[in-house]
Amino acid sequence: MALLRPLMRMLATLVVASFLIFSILALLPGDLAAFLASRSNTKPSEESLAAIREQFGLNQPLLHRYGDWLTGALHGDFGESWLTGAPVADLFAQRMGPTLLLGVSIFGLGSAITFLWGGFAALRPGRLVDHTLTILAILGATLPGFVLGLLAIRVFASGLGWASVIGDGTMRTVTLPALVGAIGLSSYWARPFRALVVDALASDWALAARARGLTETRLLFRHALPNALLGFLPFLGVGLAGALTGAILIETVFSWPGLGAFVIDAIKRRDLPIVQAFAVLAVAFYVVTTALADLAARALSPRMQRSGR
Amino acid sequence: MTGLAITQLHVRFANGAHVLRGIDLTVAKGERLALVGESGCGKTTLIRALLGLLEPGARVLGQMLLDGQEVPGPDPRALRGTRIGYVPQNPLSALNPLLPVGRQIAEAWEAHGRRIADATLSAELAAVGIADATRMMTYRPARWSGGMLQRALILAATAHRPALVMADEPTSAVDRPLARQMLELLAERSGTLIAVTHDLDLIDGLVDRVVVLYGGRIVEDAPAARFLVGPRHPYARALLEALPRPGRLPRGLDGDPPSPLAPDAGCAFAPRCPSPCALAAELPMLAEGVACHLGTGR
Amino acid sequence: MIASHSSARITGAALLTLVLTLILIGPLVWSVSPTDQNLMAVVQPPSVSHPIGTDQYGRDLLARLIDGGRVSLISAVLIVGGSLVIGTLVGLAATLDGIVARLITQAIDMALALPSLILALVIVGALGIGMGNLIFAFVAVGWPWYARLVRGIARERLSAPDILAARLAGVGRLAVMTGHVVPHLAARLAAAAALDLGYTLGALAGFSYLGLGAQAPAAEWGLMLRDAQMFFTAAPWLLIGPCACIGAVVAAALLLAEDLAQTGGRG
Ligand SMILES: Nc1ncnc2c1ncn2[C@@H]1O[C@H](COP(=O)(O)OP(=O)(O)OP(=O)(O)O)[C@@H](O)[C@H]1O
Ligand code: SF4
Ligand SMILES: [Mg+2]
Repeated sequence: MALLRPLMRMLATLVVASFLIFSILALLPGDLAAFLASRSNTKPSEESLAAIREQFGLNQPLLHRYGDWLTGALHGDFGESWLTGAPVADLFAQRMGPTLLLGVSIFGLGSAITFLWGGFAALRPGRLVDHTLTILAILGATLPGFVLGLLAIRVFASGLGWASVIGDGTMRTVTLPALVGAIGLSSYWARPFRALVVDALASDWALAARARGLTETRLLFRHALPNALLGFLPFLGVGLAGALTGAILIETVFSWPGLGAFVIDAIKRRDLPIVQAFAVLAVAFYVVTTALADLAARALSPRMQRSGR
Repeated sequence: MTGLAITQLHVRFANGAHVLRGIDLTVAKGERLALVGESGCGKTTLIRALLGLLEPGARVLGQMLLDGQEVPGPDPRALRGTRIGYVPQNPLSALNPLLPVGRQIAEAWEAHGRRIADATLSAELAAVGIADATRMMTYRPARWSGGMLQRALILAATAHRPALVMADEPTSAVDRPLARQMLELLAERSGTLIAVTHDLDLIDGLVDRVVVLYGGRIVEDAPAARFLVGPRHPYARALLEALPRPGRLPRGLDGDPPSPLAPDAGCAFAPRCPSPCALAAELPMLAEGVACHLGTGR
Repeated sequence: MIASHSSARITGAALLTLVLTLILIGPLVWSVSPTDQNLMAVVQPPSVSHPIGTDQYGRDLLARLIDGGRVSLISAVLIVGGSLVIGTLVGLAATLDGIVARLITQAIDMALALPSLILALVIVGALGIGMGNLIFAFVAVGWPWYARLVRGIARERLSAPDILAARLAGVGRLAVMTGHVVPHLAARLAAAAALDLGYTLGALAGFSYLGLGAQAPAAEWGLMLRDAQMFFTAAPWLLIGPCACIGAVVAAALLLAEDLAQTGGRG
């Protein structure tokens, strides 16, 4: 029962957000007419505009259009590209693979770096590893991912002569962009994670466990890390938001044939159905993952168990 | 030489806080001792020094011998739980909230290379007064009450019948009838016992000696029976007067305890002493169980 | 964190001063045009006449760096200032009683649950590309952050004993807000704004790099990196200026914000 509330909240956020995105794109001056005007030298006549609006259903009331769009979207139909007329869903499907590969790699690598880096720093608070972590984390947060990416290409492609650093969307070339994304992500994550491990190791129960004769290793793996990971769940979602926008930049830097670069292109060409579908999907992904992380934290938290009966 | 012998123990933390300033204390085997003193006087620090669990950066000077053997010694971990037992202060925060209580209490055995069967553990828990132990041990701490947790923690601390058991305010988180029970359970299961407590009215008949700490020094060290009727150090008197007694309002103690960062300047209690003596500028030594220039009081 | 607070503050202030000097004093000392092309001197390495080299149109990189800094900084200040003002007003409004205030609170929480840069992309998509539109988009998604901060501080203040006493003594709501709440916001808001300025500069550079912000031939740090994209393998100096400047301002913002957060802006 206690889980119902956050779920309802998540659904409400999704509906409001998708409607917000829909209205922004529908109401701000940038509709199909403007699109057509920008594509042809001769200004399209009012009649032809009206005909096109009719064809795309643009003269219906906003709420009606949103309802239609949502019904379609829920059935996997995101409309057609204004530019090519191809179904947006198909266009996305073609580019989803590389983006997923990059996203999962960034997430996996970023988590691994975070846990190793933050974990080691936590075991030596105030020592060299720890200070290095702080400085590197500030540096990592300082250089935006795309700047880091450009520097990485410069060093690895031109400097060390590695042939294939420019992305082809497969495992073969995913390492460098994933590493760049992961460094950004972990420089955001490592400090909170380190703090959580430090707190766990300095807790009352850690002292009591040591006094029972536990080794530091066992204390770390059996007690401190699970507690730190539970506390870390809320940071997952927030990090993902950054990773999401960061990934668009990284895709562009590495010419990665994924969704991000494609959507930026669509923005420039004002192909709004594509922008709309992407934004709604990205927001939905973000909202659902943060809500899931939140739910997981609630479900695992000890207090929940108590009232759960 | 059996029992505990501490000579000239000093502890200074990384920030310069000189928290223990020369503790001399011997506790005979089987003796039960109450350690009292207001917040910040160094009680927890003394316990953690014996366990070898002070924060990194803390400097320890002096000698601590348990049955003639140096503690915490070269391998402090091996002593913890086997030779020295520790009962933490707040039972509600003394166990990892994510793990069933039973599995954590079992660590008292596992940490020293012994397996303990669930049935045995359940029987041990029942022996310290936990009803329905087989089921309870599978629950996480949040489903346990404070008193029950304290019993389980006493079991963990005394699992190997260590030569010395130290309890840091075992009574502060449970209500009074329970507090007395906790002290009784502790006294029953330990040989040599050092119990930090503020509940001076509860220790009657349970401990042999009372040691009063002030500003990192022992200011009074007396047999319990005599201490409870006639404390000698003005600070100890103030402590007893601060207790609620029928027919008398408790009298609080004005002023603040000395800062562990401040250097020695004569009698540490002088600024709060109801009638400071003329010699207060000089440090009173512990003699005949009291560290006050006026000795036996008045 | 790294060392003492004051060293974080000094480093942060020094970095910021350095970049500000470049942007504000730079044009007085270095009066080369940022847009004049010289096709006889394209992609030149650093030299006396071009201290950090030239780009593929032979434009002087130092002049472009100075000019671009002005564009970036003015935009970022507008964005942070706009978000801060709107956020403060909304946040204060959220502490009033009644249904409107509750709706505002809901709206703030809802807005914070969304990934703001994605929404900024949508707004740019709707309005079209350009620096003005980008600034508008950033303000539109930036204010909820301040609103939550202000709401939190104001709530805390409004339940403080001295304020309750003042209200009981008949001091009006508006007077309480301006006299007792707003002064308390200053230090916390300054820390938040310093941090935000750094992130905004980074994000602006990112959007410009994607081609969604400043447009050629304007000089903007992100745009300079975009222009450098094709050539920097052979001419790494194209990267140095913009990378160093972006890094310096973001680092300065992080350091100053950390210091302000720890000292509450007092020490
Ligand atoms: N790691 C540390 N670094 C610096 N000072 C410390 C540290 N740990 C404790 N202290 C200081 O040492 C003094 C004694 O602390 P301790 O915890 O031993 O007091 P206590 O007698 O157990 O008090 P309480 O009744 O509050 O538990 C306090 O002033 C405390 O601030
Ligand atoms: S030594 Fe003097 S000042 Fe100190 S407690 Fe005794 S009587 Fe008071
Ligand atoms: Mg203590």
